[in-house]
This record gives sequence, C-alpha cells and structure tokens, in this order.
Amino acid sequence: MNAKIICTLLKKDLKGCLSNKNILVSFLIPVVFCFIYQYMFSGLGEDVNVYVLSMCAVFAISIIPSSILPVMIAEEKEKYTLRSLMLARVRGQEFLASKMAVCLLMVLADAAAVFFISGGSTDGFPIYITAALISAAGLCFLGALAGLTAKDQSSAGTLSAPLMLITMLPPFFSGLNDTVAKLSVIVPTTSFQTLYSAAGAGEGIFTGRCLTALSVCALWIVVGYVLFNLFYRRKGIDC
Amino acid sequence: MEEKLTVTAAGGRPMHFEGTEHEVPFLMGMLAGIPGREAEDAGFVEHSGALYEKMTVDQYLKFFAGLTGTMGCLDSAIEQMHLSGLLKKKISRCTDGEKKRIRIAREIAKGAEDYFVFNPIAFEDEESKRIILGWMETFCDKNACLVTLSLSHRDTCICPGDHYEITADRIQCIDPEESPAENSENPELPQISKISVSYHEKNFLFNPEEIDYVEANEGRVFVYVKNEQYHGDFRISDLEEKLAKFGFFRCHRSYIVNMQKVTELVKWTRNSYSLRLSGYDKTDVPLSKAKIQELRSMYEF
Repeated sequence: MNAKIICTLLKKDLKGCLSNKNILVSFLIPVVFCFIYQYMFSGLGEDVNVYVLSMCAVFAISIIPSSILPVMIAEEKEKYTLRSLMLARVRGQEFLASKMAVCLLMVLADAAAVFFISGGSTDGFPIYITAALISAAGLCFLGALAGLTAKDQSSAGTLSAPLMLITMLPPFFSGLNDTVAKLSVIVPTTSFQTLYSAAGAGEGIFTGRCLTALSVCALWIVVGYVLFNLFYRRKGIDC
Repeated sequence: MEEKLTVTAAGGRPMHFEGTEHEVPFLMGMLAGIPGREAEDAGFVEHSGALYEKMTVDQYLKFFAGLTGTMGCLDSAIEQMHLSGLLKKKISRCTDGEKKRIRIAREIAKGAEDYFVFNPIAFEDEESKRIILGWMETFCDKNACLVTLSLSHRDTCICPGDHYEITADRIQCIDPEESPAENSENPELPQISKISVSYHEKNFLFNPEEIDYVEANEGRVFVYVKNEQYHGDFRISDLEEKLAKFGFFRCHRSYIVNMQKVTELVKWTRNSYSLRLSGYDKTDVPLSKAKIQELRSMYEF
C-alpha cells in the first residue's frame, strides 16, 4: 500500500463527506440526539448525563461504520468513480483503507462532540475515545463488506440496516431482563459501555468484565477482517 | 484483422470505430496488445459518469495527477484541453462537452501515452468538439496511439484518422483510399424523377429535390427527408449516379448530400470537415478531406 495515495484519497474522502448531505445528516444524528436528550433530561441529576453520553456514543459507533461507510463505498461504485480510481493505479486496499480511516475519524469526531456536549469528565476522555475506536474497528470491516456487496447507495442502505440495528439496540435494551443483558455482551457497542463505565468506576482495564469486553471487540475485529478478506479475494472491489 | 489493426494502431494514425459499447473490451485489448507499451499507461476516457461532480475542475485534475504522481503533466493537460478558463468551475455545472474535455485532461494529467476514448464527440457543445478533434489530429504526427469508439456513424466519420465499422462478424474500413478512377467516372445518367424508400413497412416516393441527404451505414442506405429517416433498397453508389444531376454531391464514402440544402461548411481541424444542412442544426454530415478540393472547384468557394 502506498501511503501517499492513501493520504490523497483521505483528503478527497473527507471533503466528499462534508459535501454529501445524506452522510452529513447521519453524522450529525448522535450530536442532535445528544442535545435533545440533554434538554429533555435536564435537572434529573449527574447520572443522566452519563446515560446520555453512553447512549449517544453508541449511536456514533453503530451508525457511522455500519451506515455511512457502506454508502461511501457504494456511491463510488454507483457513479463509476471507483473504476476511474482503479484505472489510476489505486489498489483496492488503498481505497478501502482511506474509507475506513475517514470512518474512524468521523467516529472520533462524533464521540468527542457527544462527550463535551454531555459534560463528560476530561480525565476519562482518553479511555472513552480509545474504547469507542476499538468498538468501531470491527464494525468498519463489516460495513466495508456491506459496501462491497451493494451495487448502489440504496442497496447499501438496505444491506447495512440489520448490522446497524444489531449493534445499536442491544445496549439500550440490556436492562430489560437478564437474557437480553447476557446476549448484549456479544456486541462491541455493549463492550464500549462496559469499558467506559468500568474506567469511571476505577476498575482495572485488564480485569473482570473489561477483559470480556476487550475480547469481544478483538473477536469482532478478527471475524470482520477474515470475512472482509474472504469476500475481497473472491470478488474484488468492483463486483 | 485484429493483428493488422494492432499494428496500424501502433503506427500512430488515429483509429475510429463505430460499434456498440460491447466492443470496449476488444478495443481496450487492442491498445494493450501494442508491442512495447504497458497496458497500465493507456488512458481510458469513458462515455459518462466517473466524475466527482462536487469538485472543481482544478481539484479534480490535481487529485488524479496527485494519485499517479504526475503533477508535471497537469499544465499540459489543461493547455491541451483549453481548460484554464474552467478551473474554478464545479464539474456539476459543466456541459457534456466540457466534461468530456475534463475526462481527457484527467488521462493526460495521469501521463497516459495511448488513449481509448468512448464516444469522443457525442455532445452538442461545438467548442469542445473543435478542441477534442484538434487534439485527435495531433496523433497523426506523433508516435502514440489513439483509438475511439462512437455509437454514431456520423461522429465516427468526422474524427480525423482511419474509420472502421464493427459489425457482428467483422471489422471493415468505412473509407478506404478511393482511387482517382472511381472519382472521375462519369457514366450516362438515367432519367429518373422519383426515389422509392420505405418507412415502417410503407413505401414512399420522393422527388430528388426533397431529399436532404443520404447515409450508408451497416450495409443499409438511409434517406433523410425533413428530419425523418427512410430506408432505401439500393446501393449508395447507384443512388449517387441517379442524384448527381439534381445537385447532389458524394461528400463522403458513406454520405451523399443535397447541395441546395447545405448552409455551412465546418472546418473542425486540418483534416476534419463537415457540412451543415438547413433544418438540421444538430447534425453534421462528414466531408472527406479528399472531397474538399472537388467541392471547391464545383462551387467556387
């Protein structure tokens, strides 16, 4: 992979995201909801702020890799710009690396915005942002896979919707009963919540429930990488 | 035939094909088969799409030159495609002709040596047509290869260079070198006053004066009257003889034009001309370079 090519693509993709209304709306959903929840739950105590932060960060972690990333990839296929990049000697890996990097940068920006809007403590920011990025990394591979499979932007939306729901809903409903709580452990968004709340409670990062959460994130990254590579090797980038 | 075409392509004379989009892989393969050339170095200019519409022309060209590390070719690309006045314009606001120039400039900026252009002049913007045809003509003098594919017979014939027609089973030259004997032939003209043509399985008879121009394409002859296309069951050479005395002129191997209807002679480049007809604002009838002198002496212009 050529770093210079990835850098050139990255600049283009970042500018492209800012000028695409659909992507911009999806990108702003966590921030907008953060403002709404802050307004709705104002005066209910400090714990509400932590809940709002955790919930809106889950929005960012699930929406951006599983909804925005597939659309970004499918858009290039739909408009035949991907082919023009391939003819400019851009490799598939470089193209996808740039898209994933943009996706992680967007997660970072969204998570940071949500953190400061909901008044998170700056001491917990490094562990918060690291947990968000680790949780989003595995989803990036699956989001990229959805983008490769999709023929156009609308089919990308259809394909990525289940992935988004699977990753977004379990953390919200984990409090309903024990079964849902146990099941929700297997998604990386719950892992994010676990890691952040454990850090807030002063628990060690490599002990107990944090170790399980880290293992879940690692598993999603490995499975996502393997599935993505299997598909990429068989079908290529412009299937 | 394919091998012969590859050798011809390597010789540097532009080759223009008429065919369908299914021929694109074959023609791209022909470019790739030229000895001593890398397939990756060939520039591919698509018919539509493949542009980042939200970028300006300047951003788009710099982006591709940056990807291939050929920023040195950027100025030449802008100059060859006359884009200096459009650099700050958003691609989405450009005309189809300007977009085609941008696509060609992108390939020049990428440092391409040989080019394949799909539908090079299939748009209405005259300035862009002139610029692209001028660029094509430069290939007559340099050791590089240009292959184009047009869906339109007329567009194929206007492009400077050699013209070929791709049919289901063969590739044939549209305008092989014409022998002087053929041109100077002056047979006795039969007395006729009606031309029989068909349209939707109905037969019509036209006075020769009503016919605007005649086109031979894919082995069939089409007669154009008031912007309608009719099919004729005759050979274009037979029709040429019949129509000569009514002021018709064989301006191209595939075209006969009613000179009474001609309003403009358009010079695109040194080797590319066309005729404009009254009532056909968007149609250019190709005029062979070999026929220009004949036309000049006949009509004293």
